[in-house]
Formats: sequence, C-alpha cells, structure tokens
Amino acid sequence: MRMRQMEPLEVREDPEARLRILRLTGDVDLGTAAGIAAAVAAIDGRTRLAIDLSEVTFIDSAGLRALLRARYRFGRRLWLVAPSAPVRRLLRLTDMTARFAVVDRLADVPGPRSA
Amino acid sequence: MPFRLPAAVEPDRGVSGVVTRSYRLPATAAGIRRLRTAVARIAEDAGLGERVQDVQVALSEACGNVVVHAYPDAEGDMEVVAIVDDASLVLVVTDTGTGFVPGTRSPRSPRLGFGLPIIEQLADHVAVRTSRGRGTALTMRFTR
Repeated sequence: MRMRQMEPLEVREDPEARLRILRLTGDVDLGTAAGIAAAVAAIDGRTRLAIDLSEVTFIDSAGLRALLRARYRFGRRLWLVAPSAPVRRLLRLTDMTARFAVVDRLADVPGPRSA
Repeated sequence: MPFRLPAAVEPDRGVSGVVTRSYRLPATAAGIRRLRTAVARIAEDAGLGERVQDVQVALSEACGNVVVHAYPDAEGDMEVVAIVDDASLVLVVTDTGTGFVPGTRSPRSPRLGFGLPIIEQLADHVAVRTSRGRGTALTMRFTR
C-alpha cells in the first residue's frame, strides 16, 4: 500500500486585499522545498504574496532557499506572516530576517494601495 | 505518522556509560526525515531539552549536503552514528561519495552555502574530514 503524502501547502486568494496567500504547514525541508518553489513559481509574479508560516514545525536551509526564491520573484510584494519559532530561529541564524517583510497577522499586510 | 527505522542497530553499551546507535539509509530527503525523528529522540533522552530542535536542524543540514552533493551520478547511502556519553551527544554523518575541496562550492549544484555555517552556529564543535572520491565525515558535538 502506498502512503499518500500529506499536502504541506495551500494557496488561496483574498480578492479584496488583492493578495495570494500561501500557507505552509509541517516540515519545510528538502522533501517539500521543490513543491513549494513550484507553487511560488506558478503564482503570477505581479501579484502580492503572503506566506503564512505559523504552522511550520521544522525548517532547514532547503526551506529557507524556497523562501528566498519567493523573495526574488515577488520583491517588496512579499510578506512572511507569523513565522513560527523554528522559522524565526533559522532566519536569525542565517542573518536573513532583514531580507523579508515580516508581519504578525495576515491582517497586518498593508493594503494594495499603500504597498 | 510513526514509522520504524529498519536500519537501527541495537544500542551498544560496550563501554560503560556510553551509548552508541547507528543508522544507515539511502541518501534521500525521506531518509533525512527518518533520521531527524530518530536523532530527536536520542537528543531528548540525552537531556538536551531546548536544543533538540537545533540538533535536528544541524543533522538536516549535514544530511542535506550528502543528499545534494555526495552522489552526483549514482545512488548512495548516508550513515549517522550517535554517541551519548556523560558530557555530550556526538553525531557523525558519513557518506562514501565524491568528497569536496574545503572552501569551494559544487559546480553541479551550487547552493547558497548555508549548511555548514548553520551547523557551526548550532553545535559546540564541528569537524569535517573529506577526501576527493572517498567521501566525507562530518562530526558535531552538542554539550549536554
């Protein structure tokens, strides 16, 4: 019997805020980074993207590289939302915190006009 | 979902007060996850508490380097030996792959080079032995 892989990511849209929301859960590592990168690459790079990291239980540099690719693709139209403790720790360790706009809640992502 | 680790060797209590476990798995992303789970348990038992996550990250980086770099043209294994004594938890991650010249990057899969710097920040001591064509052994020590 083949075990079905749990879906570690979900993309939805908030049309009012003109925002795509990518929600990552579980382990963000070599096993999931390629899928995350593909999901990011599939989103129109001219839109605004929020990556919800509140439910990430583990992240390593493979996962961090997926986030950095999103940063390059979306530039200042990318926000990291509520990064969990493991994410915050890795961002600090790699001195990457300042590369990202980080907000505590999805509601804290600036509106499309002020962006 | 819990899983068994078929490659686990029974704890070796040959030397008084020292417990050694070793795992040998194919070098894959799925293998890294299994090793991470096993090593987390060992780190918890060793009383590393708040540092368990750090141990998992360091292990993941070391094994990630094996999966990405060690066997560019073939499949291969990664081996993790965990040694717990009175003072520390030592993890030795070994492969029999290409090895590398320290200070250089692989042209085949250029990464941003986060792995080793992360390990150096998380572990109390790190040592790398590598030989072109013969593989790499990375040793990291976490003080209990």
